[in-house]
Amino acid sequence: MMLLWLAEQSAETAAAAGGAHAAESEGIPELPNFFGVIHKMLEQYAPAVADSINNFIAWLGFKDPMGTPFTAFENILYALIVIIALSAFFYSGYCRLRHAPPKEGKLSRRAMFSEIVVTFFDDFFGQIMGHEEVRRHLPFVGTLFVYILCCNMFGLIWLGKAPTANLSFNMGMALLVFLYVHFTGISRSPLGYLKHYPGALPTIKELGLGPAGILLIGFMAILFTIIHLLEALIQPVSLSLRLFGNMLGKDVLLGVFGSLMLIGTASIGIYFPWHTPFLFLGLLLGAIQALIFSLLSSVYIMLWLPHVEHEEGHGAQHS
Amino acid sequence: MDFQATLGFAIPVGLGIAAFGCGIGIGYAVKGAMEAMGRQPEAIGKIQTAMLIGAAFIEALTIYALVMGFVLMAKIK
Repeated sequence: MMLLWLAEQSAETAAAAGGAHAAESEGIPELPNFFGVIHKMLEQYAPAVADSINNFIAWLGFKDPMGTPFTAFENILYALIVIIALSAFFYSGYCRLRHAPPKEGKLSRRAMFSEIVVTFFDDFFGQIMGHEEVRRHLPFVGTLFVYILCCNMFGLIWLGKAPTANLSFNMGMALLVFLYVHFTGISRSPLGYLKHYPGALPTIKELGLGPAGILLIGFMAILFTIIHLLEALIQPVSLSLRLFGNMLGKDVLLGVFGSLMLIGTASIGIYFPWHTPFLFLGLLLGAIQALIFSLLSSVYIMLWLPHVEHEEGHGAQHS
Repeated sequence: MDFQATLGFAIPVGLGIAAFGCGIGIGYAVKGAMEAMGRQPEAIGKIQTAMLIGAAFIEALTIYALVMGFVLMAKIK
């Protein structure tokens, strides 16, 4: 009974302020989240504080085309919560293991859980990148997966919001992946990286056209360079858009069906959570999208490393 | 006919066309996965993983159309 009253109060305050009315005034219908509720209550009861906070956030440069600047700032706070929680969990376990090495097979539950996670990713990404290559890149790719998974799960918690439902947030991560991939490729061998752009071209003798073959090969080289350049530039865009679209779709679905809870009360007389089936869908989609992001990052790392130049392998990798 | 009426008509139709093509694509992918699973039941885990990954790729194309719908929906007012 108390829980129902609490849910009712928070849903009414926040949804009336943020969700259901926002569908008419601005932005996307979303479920209310913790910092949004606090912001609305501050605006009601202490407008001066809320004004100074809004000015500070707008001065910092936060912009959100689908909401107020504060909704863009909320993502930072949720991301900070995820980062602090994950770091505390894993780093303290690492320090404890390091300073007190375990006796025969007596690892703590946290250490066993971490070991399961890391060996799973070692196998999974090792099948794609090769088992001697994966150790170098597993910290980056594995952290990407765990971080995106936890960020996505925050969108399913009551009074939580997924930071990945913002395009700038995903663009930041995709930019990081882009820089890492190309920096790895260039630092491994600059010549191999540059030779990757024209691709595998036939030699002049193979064409059989004689000296005029030079023109054709030059044309093919320029064309393939442009194609590979476009492919390199579109990869981070598609990475971020895929994650953003999935998470925003889940948020809008939950928001629309959650606001139905308030609207539908008059006919039924009880607050029924219509958005429950979509929570499970959000769970599945969040996990799959985190996997896809990290998997594609590892595939891009493998693609831009220098590899053996043989015709069919090159063609199959670039199909 | 002003641009708002046009947008109000075009956005759902565009999304429907995108979903139509991607639905056929995912149908092909899942069909291949089902046949492979039937042929070799001990590899079901790997085939399932590969099918999910392929389906996420194809679904992303519909998501691009959805994102464009969100962006343009803000202009209807």
